[in-house]
Amino acid sequence: MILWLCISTPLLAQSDLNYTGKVLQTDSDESIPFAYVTVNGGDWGTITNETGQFNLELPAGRYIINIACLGYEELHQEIEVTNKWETNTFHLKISSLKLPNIDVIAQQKSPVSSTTYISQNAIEHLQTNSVSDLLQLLPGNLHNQQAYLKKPTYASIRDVNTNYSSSLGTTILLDGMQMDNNATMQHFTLSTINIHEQRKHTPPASTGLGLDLRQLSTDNIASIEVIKGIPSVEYGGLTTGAIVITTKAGLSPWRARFKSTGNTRLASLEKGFLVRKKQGAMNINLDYAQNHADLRSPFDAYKRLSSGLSYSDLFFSRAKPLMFNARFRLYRSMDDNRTDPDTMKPEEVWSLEQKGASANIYGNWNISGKYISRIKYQFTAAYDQEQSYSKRYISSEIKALSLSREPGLNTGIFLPSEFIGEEWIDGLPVRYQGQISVNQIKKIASNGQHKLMAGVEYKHSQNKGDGKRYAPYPVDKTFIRPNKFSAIPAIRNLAFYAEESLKLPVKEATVYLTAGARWTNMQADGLFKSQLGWHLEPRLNSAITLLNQQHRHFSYLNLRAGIGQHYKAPPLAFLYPSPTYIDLVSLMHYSNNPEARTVLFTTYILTETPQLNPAANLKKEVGIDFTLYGIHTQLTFYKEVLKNGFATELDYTWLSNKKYDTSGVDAATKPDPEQLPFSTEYNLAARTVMNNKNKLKKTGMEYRIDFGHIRPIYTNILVDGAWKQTLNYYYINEFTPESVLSSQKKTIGLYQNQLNNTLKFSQFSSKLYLVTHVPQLRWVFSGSFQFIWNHKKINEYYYNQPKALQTADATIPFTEEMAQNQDYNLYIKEAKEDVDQYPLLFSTNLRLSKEIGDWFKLSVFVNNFLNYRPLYQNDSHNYIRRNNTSNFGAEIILRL
Amino acid sequence: MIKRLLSVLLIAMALISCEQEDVTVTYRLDVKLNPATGEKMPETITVNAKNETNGQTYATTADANGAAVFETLSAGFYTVTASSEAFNAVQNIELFDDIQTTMTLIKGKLGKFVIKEVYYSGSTTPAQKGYYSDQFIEIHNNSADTLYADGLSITIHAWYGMSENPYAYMAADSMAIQLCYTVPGNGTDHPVAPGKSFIIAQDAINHQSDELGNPNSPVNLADAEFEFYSTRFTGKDVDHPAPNLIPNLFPFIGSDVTMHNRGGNALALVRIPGDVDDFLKNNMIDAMRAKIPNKWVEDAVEIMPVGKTFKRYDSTLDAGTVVLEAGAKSGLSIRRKVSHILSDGRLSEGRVIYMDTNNSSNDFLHDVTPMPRGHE
Repeated sequence: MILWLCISTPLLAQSDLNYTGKVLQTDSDESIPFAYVTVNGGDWGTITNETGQFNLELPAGRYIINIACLGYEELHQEIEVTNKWETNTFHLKISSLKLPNIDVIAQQKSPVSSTTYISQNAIEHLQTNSVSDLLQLLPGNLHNQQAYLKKPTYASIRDVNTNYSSSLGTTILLDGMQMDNNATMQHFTLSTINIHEQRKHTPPASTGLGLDLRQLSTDNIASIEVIKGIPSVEYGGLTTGAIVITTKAGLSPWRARFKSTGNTRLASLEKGFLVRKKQGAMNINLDYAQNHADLRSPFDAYKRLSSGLSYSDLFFSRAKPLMFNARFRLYRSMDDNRTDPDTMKPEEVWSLEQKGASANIYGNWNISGKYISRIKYQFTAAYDQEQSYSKRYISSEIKALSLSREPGLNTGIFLPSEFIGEEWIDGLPVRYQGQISVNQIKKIASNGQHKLMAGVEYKHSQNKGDGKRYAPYPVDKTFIRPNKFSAIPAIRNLAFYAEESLKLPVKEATVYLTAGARWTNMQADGLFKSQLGWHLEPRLNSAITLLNQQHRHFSYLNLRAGIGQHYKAPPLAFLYPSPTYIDLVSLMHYSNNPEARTVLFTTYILTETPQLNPAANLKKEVGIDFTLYGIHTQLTFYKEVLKNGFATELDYTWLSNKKYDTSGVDAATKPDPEQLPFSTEYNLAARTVMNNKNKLKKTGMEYRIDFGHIRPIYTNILVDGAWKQTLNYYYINEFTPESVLSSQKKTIGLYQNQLNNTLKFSQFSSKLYLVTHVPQLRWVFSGSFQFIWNHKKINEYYYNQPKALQTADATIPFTEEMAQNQDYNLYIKEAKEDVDQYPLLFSTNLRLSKEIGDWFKLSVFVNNFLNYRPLYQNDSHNYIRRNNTSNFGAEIILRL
Repeated sequence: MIKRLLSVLLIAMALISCEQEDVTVTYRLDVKLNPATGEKMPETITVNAKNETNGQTYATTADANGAAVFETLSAGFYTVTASSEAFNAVQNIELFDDIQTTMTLIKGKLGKFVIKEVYYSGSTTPAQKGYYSDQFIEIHNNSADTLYADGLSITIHAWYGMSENPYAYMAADSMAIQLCYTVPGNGTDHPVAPGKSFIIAQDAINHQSDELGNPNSPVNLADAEFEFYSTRFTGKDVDHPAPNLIPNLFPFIGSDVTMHNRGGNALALVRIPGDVDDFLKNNMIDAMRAKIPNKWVEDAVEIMPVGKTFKRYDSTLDAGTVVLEAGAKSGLSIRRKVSHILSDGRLSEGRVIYMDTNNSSNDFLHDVTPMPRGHE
């Protein structure tokens, strides 16, 4: 607070001036009510009233004003605020392909951090199913070749191969509301969590992998920003980046969209209207999508239904406008996979149903006070209901099973060789979140600005579900017993943050500097106590822009650099994993007389897991942007080092077991353990636990070269892409080789966290975009030609031998003689290197949009137009087809 | 008195001489050996004729043309075997007259214990799912001697036969195995009489009637002599009353010893001299597979997956292959053909001799309903 006053005092002399404007439609001069007016990218903001007028209090100076209203082309214009009292008029054009400039590919707008901006035109032209389709517009991300929803998809930023740590560390903000799934526990065991493939015959699960992006439809999205570089300290709970989604709000004509491809159907409807005069605007939307994995079978389907209702209003519009937005979202999705009844097989099901509701209240209050210019607020409450279900016929052999939930000796059962096993996971993640920040914005000189922000954020996520249950017996994960999620503590993160953004004109150059820090109490116990500690995230972004109007050929140069620390707390499923039940057979007596059949187990409950810390990612980047001969080039070099990444490891424990000898018992009589001789034996139990040992390094260079508009052929030419490399380090702690010889006695190899292998991916790719837009014909044609020049995967294993061997009662050091002894050769991990180097791969995606009148728009797309699918034989001698089969689709948009 | 005594003596002598006259009724057995197809006649061939009634064995050698003669053999049932270093032949003879018989030598060895039946396909449950607990292997004493099963090992070849055998380089003298289980005992604990067999079940229960079993199973294995039992996953395999085989080498194939249900497992019976565990430990090819010399193999059956012809065994072990055409879950088995049934009145049901020409294409029936201890 003292700091606040110190910084602000010298700037107090300034006083704000009133700025009034009126927003009109270009052709008709009709006033546009409920247009969103923002100045300097959101530093000030308001909404026009029913006569299209707005008021803002701004210090004198030059600004960029941005006026947006659904159905109109966004307006960016420079304004000058002086003490003259006058109404400025702004004209908005109805959005259509008649307009000369349309962005259908992603833009890089900010001069400071690397952020990709995707406009609504680009979203419409891409003909998307979900937000995950949009990520192909990032430089270096590859074509999404299949219009497919059947598989969970995760955020991928600066990855070569979709990566566990990366997707979890990407935060998704929907109008500022964090769409995390940190409290999701829809997985049977930690060992089944896999980002690369959905295990067959399990319900889909996205635990610990970040949000499943296919849940998010794109129909009511106004724009998306993907922050790949160093985000503002406002954004927390991330290590990779942020996907910032702004939904549509305010007035809008009826809009309907219908899309159809080979295996996907999608329909959506939306409308924005004034509730009553002076009582705000309402926007409603509804959309439905369904996708079949295989067109021939309707029994493997994904269905999504979502709807949103938003209400926006402006209070105190004359002087200190308070923008109020409330948004309610409802969704239901069903990923269903069941046996086709026509196959005459008994029905088996693997499904995941998710439904939920959320309320989000957010906005800005431009109080234009002496110390505080603006207050930004956000309050969110959300709940999801998730149910994984599987139903299977279990057969093949008779097994013995313990169902005990207590440790110690217990009587088990013999399972019939065939039964129908059903399993459920009922999850009920509930989260609420609040965030308030204050801003002080002052002008420095004529064109400079100082902005100081300070805020506080609290997030609480909990799972109130009933958890795992089964009937009549667990299907195959016998080490699971019912456990209620509601007994698990909540995730509680309290964060404070402050940031100073400076814009200083120095002669012909402008210097930008954003420096801030975020201080998070992870797993807060009250205000000061903490379970995972306080973590400080300093972040810095800077740039210098040189504008040179005199020089014709070299007109723009921008240099930027940034560095920042980022933390991501472990999700609930990693922090509080379910206990593992180990059941050892103590007595087994199977007889033809069912009365005499007995099986006794000794049950152990293993709960201890390694202490987890938040994952930490240090990001650094530098960039250069310049315009030479009208060609605008942007280059970004980055390096990220993620430590404390989450990974699974095997943990071994010796457990003692009393083994009763039933050889003297007559087959037809029931044995009594009290009367039987026994021996004590030691069994080795293995289980999967979560650790913090993964390390991930990312380095790369992103480029974007915009050749601009070639007027005679109405075509824009742009090349973007990236060279990138990811390096994953995996460590080995304990390992017991699976021995096939009964003469080999089991011991635990203690490797004590030696480096086991590094998995390195590198890729160099380019995308050439040719966008032909003929305003007279009202059509846009885009071709995206993708070249993967080089794709390499190197998995390097290192020579490792255990430091010691642990038997049931002793730990013996592993000597050099043992390393030479053939008896121990399974403990020796030989160094080896697997290299897969893929040659050049090419693919073409084509898209066409055409407007017929003002109300009808038809779009078509073809992915992998040439159906080029070369065969590649990989290192393990398997043949794989690169590229997906050619697929296509069409959609229409109606506006009334 | 002396006269009476003399007459008694005379009668007795006459009787004795009469008896002697009866006992010395002999027949001549002419054996003509033909060389194995495409092979030369071996230089030295020992020919044995074993009297199955009194167990006496007569030996001779064949001449350069393959002719061997037993001039005086008393009447009875004989097993005639011819063997040289690389070739063998066996035939059963009922000698109640002078006989001339022709035997064709085959390359390879002749077993004593033979694999009589293998049921690996499994059955279907009422819900049309697979049930494999009822798999079994039946092993038959095809010889005239009581044999002991103690120490006899069952092995499964390391390769599934789905493509070219990568262990072909060693096939001439050794085989690569991925599984070895051995019959327990101190050497004489488990006698098997001639013409008798024993069953190794995956699970020794009456699969048809056990309430936890499968009513569709074709077999009742409650009286199986041995069973496979795995402790790899605690509780997954149930230990029934039948004694368990000793696991020496076991592959990672789930919770029990389940044979490949589409016929990927070529089986063999082996007698490994000395300590089996020690031998395997010192003869591992890699972390999972061991190598065993062909000379220790008593019988081998080259079971093949449907539609595949990638042989693994050398032709001295099995010159052919056997395929269960109906495939997995069919409830059908492969079974050796009956060569003939000896019936001398002493063996109440007759002693079944199974065909054993070291060529499973010829020796085995396939797609037959399993008949533990039974034959056509």
